[in-house]
Amino acid sequence: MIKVVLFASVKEAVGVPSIEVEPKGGETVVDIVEQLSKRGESWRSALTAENLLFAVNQTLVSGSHPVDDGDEVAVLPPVTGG
Amino acid sequence: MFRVMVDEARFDVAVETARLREASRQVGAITTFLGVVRDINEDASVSALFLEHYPGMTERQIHDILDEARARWDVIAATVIHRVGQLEPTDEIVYVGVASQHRGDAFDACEFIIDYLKTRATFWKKERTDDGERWLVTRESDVCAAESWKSGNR
Repeated sequence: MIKVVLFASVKEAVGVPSIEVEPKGGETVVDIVEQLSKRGESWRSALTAENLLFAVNQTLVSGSHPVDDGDEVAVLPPVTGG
Repeated sequence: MFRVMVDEARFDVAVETARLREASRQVGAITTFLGVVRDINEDASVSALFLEHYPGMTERQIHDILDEARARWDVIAATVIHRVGQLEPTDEIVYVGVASQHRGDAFDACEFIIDYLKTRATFWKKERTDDGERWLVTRESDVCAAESWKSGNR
């Protein structure tokens, strides 16, 4: 399974901190995000928000990065630490 | 000698700074930055601040930022402590302390670390104001500050 972890405004919008996705093989980050966007309007609008970044196994990646079974994908809204 | 802590617990600036001083007898300069919760942001009165982070990734990113600082300047020891959870105006949020042989490196490395932390580290702030709660967005001025450290401009 692929675990997708969500934070801040995205987590609030969809109502869960994480969700598991069945791997189909050969998917990229963008593929996973598109799949989740189909879950409903709150998912679609949260995941198409501007300036989201993505990480796979806690490393920042681009949307075209491959995702394998067992990976953790994170959806990261714009950061505001410090 | 290189400490990163992300935790709800309060921290003591004096204790942390003393630790840096004891890191080595080569330490001639220590600079520190302390970030504090304000009660006003963009004309709205702030009553509380909630900080979320990505456990594991956040700490790793801060370590990466410290590695970059060490590659660019003489950094003998450094400490970054960032609180998370529920905070209020006047609470301490973040401490960055850098110990170097000389003050030029200590000043620059400290500023670099907080500038990069503000635009890279996976923290998210949610403010409570009179109008309700809102997640903050990255400030353009912070992005500019981080950009200014690139390609040896500083």
